[in-house]
Amino acid sequence: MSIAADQARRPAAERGLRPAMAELHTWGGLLFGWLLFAIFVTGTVSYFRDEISLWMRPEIGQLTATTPEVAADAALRQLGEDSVGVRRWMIDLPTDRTPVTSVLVLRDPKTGPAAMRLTLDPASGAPIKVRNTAGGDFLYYFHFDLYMPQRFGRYLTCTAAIVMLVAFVSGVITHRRIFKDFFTFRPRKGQRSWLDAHNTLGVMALPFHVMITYTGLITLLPLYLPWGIEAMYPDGRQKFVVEMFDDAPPRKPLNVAAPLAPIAPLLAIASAEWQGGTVGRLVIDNPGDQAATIRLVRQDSERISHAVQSMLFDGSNGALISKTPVIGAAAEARGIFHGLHLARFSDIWLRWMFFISGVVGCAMIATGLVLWAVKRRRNAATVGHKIVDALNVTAITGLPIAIAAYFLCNRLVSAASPGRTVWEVGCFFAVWLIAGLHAAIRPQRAAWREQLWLAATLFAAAPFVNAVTTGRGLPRSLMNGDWVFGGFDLTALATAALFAMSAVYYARHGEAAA
Amino acid sequence: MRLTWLPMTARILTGFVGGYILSAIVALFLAKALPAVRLEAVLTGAMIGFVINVVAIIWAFAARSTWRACLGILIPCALFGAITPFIR
Amino acid sequence: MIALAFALTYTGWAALCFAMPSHARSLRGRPFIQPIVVMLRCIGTIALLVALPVTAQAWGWPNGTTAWFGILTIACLGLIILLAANPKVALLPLVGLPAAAIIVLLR
Repeated sequence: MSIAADQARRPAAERGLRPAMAELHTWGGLLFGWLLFAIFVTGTVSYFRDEISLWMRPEIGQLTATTPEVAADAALRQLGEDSVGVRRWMIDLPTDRTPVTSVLVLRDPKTGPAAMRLTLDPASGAPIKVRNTAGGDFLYYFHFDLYMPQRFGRYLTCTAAIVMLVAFVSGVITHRRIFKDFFTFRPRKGQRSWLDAHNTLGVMALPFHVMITYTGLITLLPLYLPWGIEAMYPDGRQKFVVEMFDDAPPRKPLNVAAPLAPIAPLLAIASAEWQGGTVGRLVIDNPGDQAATIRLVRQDSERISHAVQSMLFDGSNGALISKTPVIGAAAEARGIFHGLHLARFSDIWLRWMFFISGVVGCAMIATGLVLWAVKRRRNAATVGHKIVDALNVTAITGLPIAIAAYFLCNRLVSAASPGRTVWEVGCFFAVWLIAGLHAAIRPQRAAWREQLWLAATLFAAAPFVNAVTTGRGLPRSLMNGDWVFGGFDLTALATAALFAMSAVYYARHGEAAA
Repeated sequence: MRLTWLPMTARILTGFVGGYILSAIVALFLAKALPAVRLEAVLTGAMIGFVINVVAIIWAFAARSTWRACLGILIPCALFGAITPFIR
Repeated sequence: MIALAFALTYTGWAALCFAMPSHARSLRGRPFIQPIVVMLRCIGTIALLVALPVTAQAWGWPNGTTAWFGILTIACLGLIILLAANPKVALLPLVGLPAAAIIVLLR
């Protein structure tokens, strides 16, 4: 055995910093890459969560948002007709992105359903009969909850985020030619191309990637590092929640009827307090009771910081009870980190920039996973390698296929069907599972080819199925300036084109790519 | 008995498990020790804790020898762990 | 204003890119002489930095700073894609800078 071969077999840590970091990056990246890809894809899609939810509820026509005063007034008139036993109304006022009033009604189970969601026309308050769907919220919650019981999914996401940050640090340390290779992308050169792509995609959006990962951890801070909270709030977490989210528990009802104070003056007071800011949400506890309270929460799209700004009023006489105190530097920093992650402060330009950066992140992870497999092509026959290959396909093409199926299912399952949410979510997981089985059974090249084409077909089908089942097809959307529906359909077509181009490229250059 | 798997396992355990424990202890220490309103201290501790977690994992694999990797995490754990119960 | 920000960042990245010998070679067969390289690096860096107050003008400082990072990423992505296709084609979007500047000045 030559000396060089012996050197190469020494543990990476002994060979120096770069080989050690390369090994950490490679193995950490592989083991968590599939999960991180799923998190990144659903997260990127969630930048347009509101728009997706609107597309999946086509019964909501092309509405224009009204002023908060009009919407609040109309909503309260509508809700006032059925306020027996109601414990809380949570009223999300219409915004430019979501031009409907959304209400969550919580009531005493003895008087009706414990929780009920309503969608109201912003101007008249009339309920709109929308199909039962999870909408964009399913993909949003999957992004950090992973649809797992208890909070297991969130713990897993936190761990994945830590590994992602480790991958960034180790990746940058390993990337010797990070400045020289900044713009280098040499296509059609096999493994070299995959490495170039992985490197450039990582470096060009490095600020975004590090920011989104760290801020993601911040959003799950009370879960992952709860020890400080446990120690400093020994009398219970409730006090922490109150301090951080300005969310006091509701008062007990007095069971003395009293009309709700007029809302318009309260909206004006809040707007003045927030220097012209807009009310985004009303939380009304015990409406119609003398112990009613009205909380006005500021719209979260007006500032980068996601720290809550709210004012609490007495519901029967409109007197101010409390308002959010001035918060300290750490709380403001947390608010800004959280706000940067959710990006709810973005206008359409910024939102698309975040979306594109997210896609770059997904592509970075995907090229990394493929690079891992391509680099070890000579071990392709081993069981471990076959598992990696199958998981790569399941993640990179399987998940997009499942998402497309979720959207198609929304249109194909009848709007009146009571259990349709189960159908939609079940369809997502069933299709993903089938994609995984397909990837496991089919030879690798066939698996990639077939799933790339399937992804292209399903995404291309979405606008057509939309047009046929709802009559709000792409041509009509473009003529009416309906950018929610038009934008969704166009993005679906662009995604289909991307997968189709990848399929063609793979067919032509498959040898070189592998 | 050749324990060739031991150094890497030690690094993995100290890095990932030890790293989390260190970050938790430091977050707790800062929450108790920082001279600020308790919400501020708790949040600062946690936000710094995440960074410590990442740095610890990098250290566990970057350290020249397995001993340095493990002690580099265990000793701070022990130090902060010893002080923290006695704050306030 | 947004177009100007994109144009500035693209120009900045392109200047920094072609200052490098390997990319200059792919464009014109040989690297630029050292004084030109220094000039390109200066222009490139300044263009990227000047894009920040431009985004601040369009979005305000908080959102503008965030947008600046986004525009840097997207312009870089665009350059790399065009560069991989054909280095000469990568020069085409540079006309966007004088065009955007004129539009802004005329407003």
